[in-house]
Amino acid sequence: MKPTSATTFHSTLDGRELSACRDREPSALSVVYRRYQNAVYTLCLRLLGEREAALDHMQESFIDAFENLRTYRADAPFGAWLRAIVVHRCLRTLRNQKSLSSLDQSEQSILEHALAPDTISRLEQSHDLLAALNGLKPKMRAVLWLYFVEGYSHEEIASAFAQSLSFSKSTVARGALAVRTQLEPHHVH
Amino acid sequence: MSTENNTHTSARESAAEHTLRMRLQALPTEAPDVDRLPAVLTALEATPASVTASHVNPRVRVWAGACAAAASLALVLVWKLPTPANSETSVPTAEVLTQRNGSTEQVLKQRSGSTEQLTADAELMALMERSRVAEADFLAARESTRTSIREWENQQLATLALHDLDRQLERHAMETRSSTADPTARRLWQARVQTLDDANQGRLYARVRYVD
Repeated sequence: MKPTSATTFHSTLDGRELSACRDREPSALSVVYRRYQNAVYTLCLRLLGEREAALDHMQESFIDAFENLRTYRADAPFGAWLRAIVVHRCLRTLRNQKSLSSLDQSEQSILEHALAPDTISRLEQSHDLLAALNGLKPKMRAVLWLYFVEGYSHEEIASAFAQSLSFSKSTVARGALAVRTQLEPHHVH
Repeated sequence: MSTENNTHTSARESAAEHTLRMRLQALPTEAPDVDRLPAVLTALEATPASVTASHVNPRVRVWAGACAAAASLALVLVWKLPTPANSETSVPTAEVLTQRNGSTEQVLKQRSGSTEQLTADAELMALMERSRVAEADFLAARESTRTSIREWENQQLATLALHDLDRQLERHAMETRSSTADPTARRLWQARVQTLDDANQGRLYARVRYVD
């Protein structure tokens, strides 16, 4: 099944809009910004897990996109092009936050983090999927989101994180297990 | 028996993943609680449309602007500063010449009088001393200006190099959806790190000026 993004990057720009944006007309830039801001912000928030960081990355992603409109060839929807910029920027931040070695921890230690007493306590009250997502380690959350929601393949995720194919597969499996375990405390696997 | 268990487990995992996928995709889109549009437009105003300074660290953008201002100031200083009297390539300004010659004529005229010989000699010595001090001040100012220009050029070179590398990285990422997975991306990232390091050490200027 082809995943459908929870965010809305499917639209594109018509020729007039694209031309006006390339000429840096504030009104055109504003229209495009307003059209995509929720999608960009949501993607940043899901990948980074922090509102302030998401706001900063949304801002920088739009600046990146508008400054590079000359390189946009319009052979793909503008939304897809913009989404690639957003993902690229967020993953760059995630890569710089910590060594990827944190993802090489044992499954047990990851689950221990996801199932920390305060996390469980919080989840017992809300049983909220978002809380479960945010309980994951940042890079695991990003991998999970890219795979399940943005439709990235294991190959693409491995490439984006400069890791092996098995890294993507095992991270998706462990992440899904961690989320399900948090949502269903008595989940048996 | 074992095969049957595995089949059941696999089916259960698949169904669970499907459910998780559905739930994740059903999460609502969120709206930012702060409007960053003015900041975006302001940042774009600072960069001409013809310049695609992509993916430059915001701090680099600020630093580049400051360097440009410093360079303008340095050029004004170079233009305004007097040229040293004993420099092989320098030509004294008219004001300096008038001051110097006028004073020298006075001194020579005074020297012609026998009673004021000592006073004239002392004035001549004082004049030469002031000239020497002024010359030293000028040389120090010129060196300082050259240093400022060198630092600015270093930063300018760094900015240009980083622009170029970032554009290559972005293009590469667009084409391959990867950034560090292959040798090309790794080489670009290493070049970027090296460029930043060189810029911080002031080596870009030296590399361009004395090696290339």
